[in-house]
Amino acid sequence: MNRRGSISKWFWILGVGSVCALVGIPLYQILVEVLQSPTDGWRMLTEKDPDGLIGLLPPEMQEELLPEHTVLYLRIKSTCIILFSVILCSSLLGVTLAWLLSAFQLRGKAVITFLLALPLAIPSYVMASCYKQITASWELSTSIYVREQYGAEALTQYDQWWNYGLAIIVLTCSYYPYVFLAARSAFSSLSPEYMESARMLGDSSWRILRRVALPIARPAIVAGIMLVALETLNEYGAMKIIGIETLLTEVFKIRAGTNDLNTAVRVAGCIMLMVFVLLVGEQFLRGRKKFHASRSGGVAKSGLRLSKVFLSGIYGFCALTLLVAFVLPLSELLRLASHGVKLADMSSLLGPVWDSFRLAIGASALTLVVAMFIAYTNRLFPKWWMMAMSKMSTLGYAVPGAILGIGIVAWNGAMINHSSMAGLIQWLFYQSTVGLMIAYGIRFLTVSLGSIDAGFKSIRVSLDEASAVLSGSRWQTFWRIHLPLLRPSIFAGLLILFVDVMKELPMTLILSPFNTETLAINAYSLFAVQEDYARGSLPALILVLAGIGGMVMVRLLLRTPKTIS
Amino acid sequence: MSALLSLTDISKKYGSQEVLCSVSLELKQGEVHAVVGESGCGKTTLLRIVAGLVEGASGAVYLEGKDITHCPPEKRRIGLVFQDYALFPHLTVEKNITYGMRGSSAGEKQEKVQSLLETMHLPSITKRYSHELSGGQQQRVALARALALDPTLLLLDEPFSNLDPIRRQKLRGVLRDLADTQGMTSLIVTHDIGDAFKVADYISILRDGKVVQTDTPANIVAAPACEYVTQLVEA
Repeated sequence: MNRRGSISKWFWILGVGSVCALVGIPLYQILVEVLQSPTDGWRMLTEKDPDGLIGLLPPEMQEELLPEHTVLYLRIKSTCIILFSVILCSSLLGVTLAWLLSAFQLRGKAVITFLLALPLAIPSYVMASCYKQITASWELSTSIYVREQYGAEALTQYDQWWNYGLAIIVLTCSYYPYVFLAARSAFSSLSPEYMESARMLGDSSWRILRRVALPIARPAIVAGIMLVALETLNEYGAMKIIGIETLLTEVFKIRAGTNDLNTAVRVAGCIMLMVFVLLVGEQFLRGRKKFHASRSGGVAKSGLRLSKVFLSGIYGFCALTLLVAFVLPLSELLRLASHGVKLADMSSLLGPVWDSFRLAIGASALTLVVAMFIAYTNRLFPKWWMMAMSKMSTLGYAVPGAILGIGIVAWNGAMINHSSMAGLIQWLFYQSTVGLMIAYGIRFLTVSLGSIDAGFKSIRVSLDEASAVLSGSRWQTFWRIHLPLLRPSIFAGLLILFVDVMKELPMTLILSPFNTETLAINAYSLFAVQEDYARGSLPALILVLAGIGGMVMVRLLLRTPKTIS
Repeated sequence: MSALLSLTDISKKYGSQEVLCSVSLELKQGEVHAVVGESGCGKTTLLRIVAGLVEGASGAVYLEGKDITHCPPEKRRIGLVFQDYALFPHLTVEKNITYGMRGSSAGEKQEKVQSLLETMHLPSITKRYSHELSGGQQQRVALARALALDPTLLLLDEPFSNLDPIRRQKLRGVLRDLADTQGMTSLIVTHDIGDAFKVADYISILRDGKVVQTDTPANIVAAPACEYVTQLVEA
């Protein structure tokens, strides 16, 4: 390679390397903080008698006053209850729906698939507020009954389990589409020969699901489940609205109360440890097995015919899911908005709408440019190390947003103490519009990179070669060949990102500048802090409508996936 | 001796296109029967109708004298070896072979796997996954999996394609051995009449969904029924 080519190569590699470094910084900072000696705040969480005061009392009083468990134990317990229940319910619902739509001959599969993905347009904290309202009178009447029948102590227990139940239902409704879409896509691309082979060897359709389809589609389904797990661990708004204390709500509580960053990062580290255990667990379970099973035609080709009764049952089940996860909360939002909203409430929305749009547009554009850069570098240097760097740059998605936010705050704190460029760093990364956009970029890079990368892969390398032969420079090839062909992928990537950024809550709460209030923060504070559900319904409705609009447009844009050769 | 498999007037249309037109065939116990034809002549559809994987065909399929036309594939006790073998990628060789053996004890399964792998001249590869096997090994495992059910009839879809000459010869040996020593009845579809001549007792030539000749290899060579068969033999 000549000198100019070598310099050009390093330009691309250093560019991608810088993105990786930027993504790695908050994670590195979390590790650094965890390795430092703990503060008193950590003792408050991990010891039953952190001040040693109970220890000074007589033994019989100690027994009475000493709490049964530490705060950290309780938070880990509640996080695990929610996490594993939501994983279980979302997986059962998502996989069952996907299998019913894949294995049997039904009409309108594409439309039903799209409708069943619609709950993704409702942010979980909005879903939680709607269900809190829908179930309010029921909760009250059952609480009175429990109190009268079983006493006040039973009521405390009942309240706790009611909240857990509600949270599990709300989060399942919000997140099952991740598993559903992943499983649906995996089942659709499953080689029909596997199904036929299993049938020839004596299996019924449900046995085929259990013994063949599920194990082969497992990586895709597990990827969907991992998304559910990450979103659940990152759940702050819904937990606050429903009233459950988890590890993440504890992180916010520590920040708002004592502002003990080290302890907040340590609790965040516990959440990261859970993420790590889940990721490693799946890799370990996978072992030597190989699961590639993609083939045209899919299971649908050998879809089984059904009796009318069974067919109606499937349609009914899909309709019931859609009713609970989408129609009910949306109609509750509309009911709230149509009652008691004044014109003044509308005008107070202008600020949040402007803040949300400028942040979402800025962050989407910034992230898209970076994603284009990485995807193009991938194409120029299709080597393993480039693939590895590209993967590293998307690590931000595996980190719950709030943890990423805490990592950035911690890094900013460390830099202020040690760096001569503290002012610039603070301006760039901490509670500034640019900083928030960069944080969104770190978190959602994988979304746009996935879309652009898929677009690039559908353009055969022979087109680049043809352009080169026709004396097109690299830049000309990009401008005249790649960019026009990538247009659908670019718009799809932009739209998905735009909606994701609009909905994002926990990281925005941590990193937003003082004079910025997005629609998500506005809706959350009206629902959770002021408990003004009518006014909160307005920003929530805008978010939901933006989500639905985005999903419809992405579907239209990507309706005909094609390979350009 | 009555026929083990009997197909009467089998026809099948995909939309307006007629893929099979009034096909009738008979296979006796222990017979190796090859259906030969070019791509798109309907031979794989015929095989899938016998297996029960294609719906909406007219005509009737009898196995051991019983009408199985509307019997689901899982109830037919017919072994099928797919062209691309369709070994389950998440299961080991052993688990693939014992997949359909419900109700057998662990000992019986192990014994069966060992005996089938010996028949297939496979070294002990029971714990390997399909992607760790060569193409030839994969095919023999697929054959062992189909035989593990003790099927009444064995169907093979283009078993000789993707194999080098030595492996083709070995496979022909295995199929003949199964027929001669165990009385296994096999229906093979292939586009290569050379392979059919070397392994089959009877050959049916299929053209545009119609059987143009069914006879022994020697008779087909000696007295081709039409110009098409002559061309096929001489090709």
